[in-house]
Amino acid sequence: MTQLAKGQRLSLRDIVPTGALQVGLAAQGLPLDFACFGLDSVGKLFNDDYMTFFNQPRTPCGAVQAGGVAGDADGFAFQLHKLPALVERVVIVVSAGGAGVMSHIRAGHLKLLESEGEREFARFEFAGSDFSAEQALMLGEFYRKDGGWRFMAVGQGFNGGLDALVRHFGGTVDEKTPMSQASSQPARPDKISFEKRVEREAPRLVNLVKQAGVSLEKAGLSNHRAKVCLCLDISGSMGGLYRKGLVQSFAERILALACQFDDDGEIDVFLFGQQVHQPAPMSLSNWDGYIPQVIARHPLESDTRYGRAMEAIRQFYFPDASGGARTSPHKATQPVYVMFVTDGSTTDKAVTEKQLRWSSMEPIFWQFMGIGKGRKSKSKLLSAFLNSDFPFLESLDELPGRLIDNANYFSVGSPDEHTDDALYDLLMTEYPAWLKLAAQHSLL
Amino acid sequence: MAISLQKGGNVNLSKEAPSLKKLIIGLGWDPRATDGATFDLDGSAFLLKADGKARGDSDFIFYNNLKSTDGSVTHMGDNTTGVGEGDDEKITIDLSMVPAEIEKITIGVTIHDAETRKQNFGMVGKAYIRCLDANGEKELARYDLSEDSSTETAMVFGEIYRAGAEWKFKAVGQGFAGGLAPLARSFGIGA
Repeated sequence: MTQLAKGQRLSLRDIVPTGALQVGLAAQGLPLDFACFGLDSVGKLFNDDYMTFFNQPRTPCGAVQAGGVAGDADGFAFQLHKLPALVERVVIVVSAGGAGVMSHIRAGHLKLLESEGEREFARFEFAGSDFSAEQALMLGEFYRKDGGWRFMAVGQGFNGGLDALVRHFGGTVDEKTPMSQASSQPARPDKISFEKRVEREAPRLVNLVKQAGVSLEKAGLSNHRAKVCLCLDISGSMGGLYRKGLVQSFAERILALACQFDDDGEIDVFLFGQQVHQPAPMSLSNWDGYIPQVIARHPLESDTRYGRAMEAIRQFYFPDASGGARTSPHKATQPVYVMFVTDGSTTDKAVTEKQLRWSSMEPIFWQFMGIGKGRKSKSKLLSAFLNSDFPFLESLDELPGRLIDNANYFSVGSPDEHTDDALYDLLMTEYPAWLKLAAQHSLL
Repeated sequence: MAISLQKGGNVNLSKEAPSLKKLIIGLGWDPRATDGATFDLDGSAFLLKADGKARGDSDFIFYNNLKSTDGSVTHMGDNTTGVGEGDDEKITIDLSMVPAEIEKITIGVTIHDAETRKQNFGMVGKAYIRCLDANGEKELARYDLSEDSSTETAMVFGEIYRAGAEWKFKAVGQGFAGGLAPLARSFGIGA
């Protein structure tokens, strides 16, 4: 496989002689929209049908088709030989929604795969450090040369975002169309008064709320609204963590996140061991000492059953399915972000997998955090790679048979392992991409 | 009709223009429009002996040393943006004044400050080098090297060299890592 550098060119003649190939696209750190422009010999948009994106997923000739490929949420399938002869270049672009800029990208890639995605033959990797205030980028382009097609990794763009790109390609900017998908939520005038309330009722959380805000802004979710749910393992082995107050301080960090997502300033809490319990929500009025009080009422239990907890959570937010099977997408106006904390494997794996599959048709995102040794732990010790405590959670992250990828997983040695900003960044690793997928699949 | 060269190809300039005395080397490029850092490309010429080295620093003709001491090679000045029609930079070579010990004149182009600006030649479109007869400005040879652009920050575009009593031009298109200073050092400048 060829690693392409910015500016590097690649002849496709011998690799994909038929001109049939796929491009997989992904980037972490902010919500992005991808599009493809078919350009004529002077670099102008061939015509409006040749801008391919989620709202117009196919060119009339069928040569360009939008859709996820080979593990990436976004991508395009190309049949370059079907393009009209006047289309000289096809440029793949990416634009940031909201106030996001490309320097916020943590890591991204553009992969080139053979026709059916069976083999990746080239990859262009990019990162925020390559950019500054650009809101839209040309990632790469296919172009005709000597009777064949070539590809070039570009990685250059415009501060003016997609509008500037469209104008650059000679298109006109339609006020209401292009790609600004979920990025135009109304601003929240109530946010400032809510921040005052945090200052008044929970001064110790003010900095946390601000820190969460920074990470959300980076992820392009400043004005995003979601319900936040905290699901805590109360199996016996968690005892030390509860006694040391580590769960309380972790819950405070999640409450601060909820203060950014929701202005009722509370999170729904679920406890699970052998049974599932739902105590009163943790809120700005009861947050101090909340976890010790809850644990006093719900002593630690002897089992760990993720599936049962997930069933209860789904039943609470989407009562129509009663926590059971879901066979078609279910839509809601606000998504649910579940922070799922555990220190061990579950005894109801089959139920858990079913729950995760069913809930992939619901607007609910599961962020799992395993406390213990895991391959995805920050500690890069060899033992952590060899002996993960969470092989099942790791497999859940990749579970097949779901409508969309609705879960992410990371592990920590201790809940306070990460600094506040690192934790919030971590919590927003896959959620923005899920939001986009959920919208595409009419869950939101 | 000018001869269009491929990478590695050469043309006998003296045969193309039997009365050729003074040559204009035109360099052009077209950086992709973007809001990123602007591109500043610099053309330079190296007067080289048979061993491929310059006689001294004065044989390095660039934006800070626009004319060789013998007056044979003159850099017409720096265009810092690459915007506009026609050649972006021009270098004139009075072939009759080139000292006998100089076997070839190598024309290189470098990207200024490429490392900080994260730029390379692959990001520059429509790069070319062409040779014109100064008398009448007839184009004798041209080499479009965009497809040969490397992901490096300096490139030798071409060279003018002696073949007996005649002068030839070769399309080189060779990338060089590091920029102008290492390129100059490779020709023995500043040694």
